[in-house]
Formats: sequence, C-alpha cells, structure tokens
Amino acid sequence: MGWVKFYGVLSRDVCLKKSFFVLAVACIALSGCAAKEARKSFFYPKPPNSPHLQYLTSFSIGRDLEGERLFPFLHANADKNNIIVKPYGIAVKNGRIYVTDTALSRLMVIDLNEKKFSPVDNPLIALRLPANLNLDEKGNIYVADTLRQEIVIVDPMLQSSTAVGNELKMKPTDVAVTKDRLFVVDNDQNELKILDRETGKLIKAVGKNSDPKKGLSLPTNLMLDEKNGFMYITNQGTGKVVKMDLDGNILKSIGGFGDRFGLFSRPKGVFVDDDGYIYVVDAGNQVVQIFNQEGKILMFFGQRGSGPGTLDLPADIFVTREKIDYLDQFVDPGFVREKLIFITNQTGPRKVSVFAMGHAREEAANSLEAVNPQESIPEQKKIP
Amino acid sequence: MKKKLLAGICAVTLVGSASLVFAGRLSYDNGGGITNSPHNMPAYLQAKGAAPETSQLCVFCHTPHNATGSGEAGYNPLWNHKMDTSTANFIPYEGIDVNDPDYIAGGGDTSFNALNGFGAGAYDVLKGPSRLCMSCHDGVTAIDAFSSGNNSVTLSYADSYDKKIMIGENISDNSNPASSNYFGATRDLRNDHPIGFSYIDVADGEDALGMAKDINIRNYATPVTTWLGAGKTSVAQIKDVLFKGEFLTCSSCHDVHNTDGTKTAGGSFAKPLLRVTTDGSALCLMCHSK
Repeated sequence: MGWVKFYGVLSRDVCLKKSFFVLAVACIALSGCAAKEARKSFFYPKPPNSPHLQYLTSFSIGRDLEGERLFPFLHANADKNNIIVKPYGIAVKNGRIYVTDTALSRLMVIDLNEKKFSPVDNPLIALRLPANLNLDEKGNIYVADTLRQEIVIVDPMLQSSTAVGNELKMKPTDVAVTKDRLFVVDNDQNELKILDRETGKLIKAVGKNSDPKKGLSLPTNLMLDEKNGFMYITNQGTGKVVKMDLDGNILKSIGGFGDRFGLFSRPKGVFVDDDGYIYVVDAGNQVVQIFNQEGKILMFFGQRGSGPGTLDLPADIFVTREKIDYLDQFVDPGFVREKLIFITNQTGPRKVSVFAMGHAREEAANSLEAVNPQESIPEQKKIP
Repeated sequence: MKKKLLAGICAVTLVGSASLVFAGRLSYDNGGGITNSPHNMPAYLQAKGAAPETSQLCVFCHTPHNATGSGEAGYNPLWNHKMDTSTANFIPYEGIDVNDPDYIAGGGDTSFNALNGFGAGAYDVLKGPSRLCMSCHDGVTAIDAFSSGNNSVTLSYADSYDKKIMIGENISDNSNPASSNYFGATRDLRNDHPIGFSYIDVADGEDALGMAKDINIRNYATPVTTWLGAGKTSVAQIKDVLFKGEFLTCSSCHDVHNTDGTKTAGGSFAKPLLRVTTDGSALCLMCHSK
C-alpha cells in the first residue's frame, strides 16, 4: 500500500518536472512496485460456502492492462486518453471488451489479446450519451444513445456509423438485435419498441400499460434470450425484472423493492447465460444476484467498498464462455473457470470488473485460501 | 494544487439539480413537500402512462426490508448454504472513508486521478447519500431530462474531456439557446459543484491529498443565516448539512424532500430543490467567505 501511494506521487512529479533526478527515483520506485504483495483470491459466496465465483481483475485505464511504465512521461498523452470515466453498457466478443462511456461520450474497446485500450474518437461515430450496447452476428455495434435519441450502428472496424429510429423520438437506453428485428427500450415512454432491422421502421410498441402487472415502469436494461424466446427488462419504477416473450407478452416478473435476497433497489443490467441463469445488477445495493429460470435466487456477489470484489454503482453485465488467455493468470489454481463475467461500475477505482464463474477443483476444494472482502472494510474515521 | 483539487472534486449537483426539476412533475411548488416535487415517483410514472405498483412515495429510496413473512425461506440463496447475520440484508451505502486503506490500496478512482494529474490515493466522491442520488441520476435514467426537453443539452464532442465532470457529465452548451441551465461561463462544472470531500480538511488545511488551508472557506461552525427553512432549528451551522458533520454531499445543498424551500425574493431560483437561495449568491456565500 505504501508503495502504491508513494509511486503515485512520484509519477505526478515525473510528468511535471521531467527531471533526471526524479527519473532516477522513479526507477527505484518502480522496482518497489514490481514486488507487489502476493495476490489473494476473493470468492463468492463467502466461506465456508464452496466458491462459485472468483473476482479476477478490473480495468479503468490503459496502464491496468499494459503494465507500469518505466518512463511514464513518454506515455503521458496516450495514458491520459486511454481512460474510462463513467462506463455504462458492456459487451464482449473475441477477447475485446466494448464499453460505452457516458462521461466522455464515446466507445472504448479494450483488447485483451493485444493488451490495448483503444478509445473510439472517430468523429464519424459521434456519440453523445451512449447507454447500453450490443453486437450483432457480424460484429456491428448497436449503441442506444439517449441524447441523439436513436440507435447508432457502428461498423466492426470502427470506421463509420449509421443510425435508426430518430423519427420515433425515443429515449433509448438499450437495444438488442435478432435476424430481422431490433428491440429498443424507450425509457421515457415506458415501452419496448420493436423495429424492422432492415428499414428501422416501427413494427409495434409493447409494455405501456397503466396496470403495473401488465406494463413496464422506468425500464432501462434489456436482455434478449433468443435461443429460448424470452426477453428480460429491468424496471426502476417497480424494482422488478419483467420477463416477456418475443412478441412482448409479459410472462412473469422477478423481485420488487427491498434489501433482501431476491429483491432490488435499482435493478439495471440483466443477462441470461447459456445455462439459463439470470444475472441482475443492482446499483442501489452494489450487488449482482443470480436466479434460475424459476426465478429462485441461487446466490449474490459484490458488495460496497473499493477493494477487490466490490461493485460501485454497477450498471451493466456481460457473461461469456469465451476463453481469454490474458485472464487465466488471475484464476486461482484451486478454482476452475467456466464463464467470465464483466461488469461496469459507474464510479470508484474499478470501472470494469471481471469475475470468473466456476467451481473449486476437487482436490483443492478444502485448501483454498479464501479471503472475506468484508473484513477489509475498516470503521469510519472519527470526526474531530 | 488547490485549484486542481477543487476542479477535480467535481460536480454532481447540477446534474442532480437540473434534472430533478424535470425528472418528475414538470412544475412544482418549492417547499411544497415531496408530494409536490419532482421526486413524487408515482405521479411521474402515471404521467408517463406507467402506473407504479404502489402509491407510496418513500419506497423508491427508503428501501423496505420485507424482512418477514412466509416468503423468507424462499429468499435464501441456494448456493449460499450458510449465511451469517451480517448478510441478512444488503447493506445500504454510506461511502468510503478518505483514509480507508482499502480505498487507497485500490488506487482510488483511477480515472479521476489520471484526469486530474493525481497519483493513487483518492477518496470516495459519492460519500454519504450522494451514491443513492446517483443511482437514479446516472446519465441514463435521470440526468438528461433538462429544461427544454430531452434534447436540449448539447454535448460538444470537440470539447476536451478535461472540461467534463466526473460523475454527472452533462455540460450545457452556451451556444445552444435552448439550453440555459449551465453554471459558469466556462461550462466547467468542476469549479462550482465539488462533493465528497472533507469540508473540515479544506477549511482547516489538513487534507489527504496535501492541499493547503483555504482562508476563504468559512469555519464549519459558522452560523447559517440564509437557510430557506428558517423554522428548522436543526440546521444552525454549516456542519449541520455535512454528512457525519464533515463531508459535503448532494444533500448539503439540495433538499431532496422539498420541505425547506420558499420562493425567493425575485420568485426566481430557489429551484432546483435548493436549501439556500441563489439570490445574491447566498448559496455560494454560505461557505465561501468572499
């Protein structure tokens, strides 16, 4: 800890003074950084339960991925731009994390194979307030932009963009793509708008109903489970996750306002993985809860704070079975990774948190050196 | 350094403030209570054609525990076989301490640090109730609903991100006549909406980030005379609006329940849900001795 703080002060000085003296000291400081304390693994559920989830790492700035600089000032400009300030939507494909940044009005691509942050500063992709995003089968990126009031479609090479839905005067907060349709959450009108993918024309709008049991209420995030023919929409007006079929008929809902398991305070990101597990992000309680298809809660993870395994105003979630070699180094030898979970945090030191879902290796099941993150939260400072 | 810090500490309340006014009811009486405020969520939802499940106003922020009842057993997570009492409920957020070694070891808010030239070791900008505010005013659900409708705010892409603020990022465009909600001619909200810092540290000169004492900041025990809720004896000094008597938060300046406000002399700008009028810059002068 001391080294972290010490180095932080030094790196600022290096940028400002660029003196040889400070450089020399920085080198010494770096050697200190290299000897980081041994990593401890953070699991959920907490011991003595057997672990289903491990916190792996987080990304906020380019350095998180590229490693510490020997001469930080040489990279000052790039470092300053390779930054995520306030992320919201997230999607992962082929080792690349796509994140929207509402503060910087842009898309950030984190390439875990190339170990590189690539901010999309292309003026042909001028996002204004990008909320959630989703990829289609070709890698086109669909971004719900609430200020442009339309869906911005970015080509896979990040060279150009088109847009649909502007004439609908929506406040789109999420979008999903199927072969022939676009599903758009209109947060302002409490509707899900179904558009023709080819023409962008409105086919129908569903979900608006003065009966809360039949309608959406301040909906923000959408998960399309195309394989099983369901949609899941989080609602901040009712604290519920609404499950629909692809025609927009409401089938059931999960949750409601509350601070107990299975309840939510600010349900935002929602994801359904290929096992049918439903993940719901709660920005009010700083947790993610996992449900099975019956709506029964399996477990939760995340907690307030800033240390490993914490969440801080979490927004969106993406789960994948993709194998990403870079992340293997963080997986505990006693843990078997099955899926990767990516979560955006709107504030705090960990803007994109990465977890692994899996199970303990049988032979190691009893020997995992698990740490309860809760124990690291100290008491409040005394007021003078 | 001090300017950098102040600039960096940045700025949430405008976002809270400007969007508050229009997030819910389009017009309201200042001081009319929460039922007559933009935070009457049932009224807002009904106006948008989506009935809430309840007519209760408080449930949206004062999360009910739902602690008992027949359903409790069903809430027990299948994969958490053993629960201790500390996880019987999710823990409400109270913020992270400035000197929290957990926070410092975590590198503070790295984006914040990089933007503002700081190294590691920052603090929780959303300390206290601010995080709850920002769970709705997150830039997606509530933030961009500014005065002239959703589309009135122009974010100029050419703007350097140095000028953008950390938590509430919308910056009104001076050149856009539809947008009159900007604070400050430079469009830089970081100058005038700092939150999350220790007021005592700033006023007395001791700070985790090493800033010097600011002689233009009033002592935290200074009596408040410009309070709109004049009958409220609970607020006698500046420290009475600070979280834990020390930290500035959204609610230091904003009255989320709309209980204290009165019309200003000019009838103009006691909104949005301010505790002290901006007439004669009284809000600023409450803390700044200038």
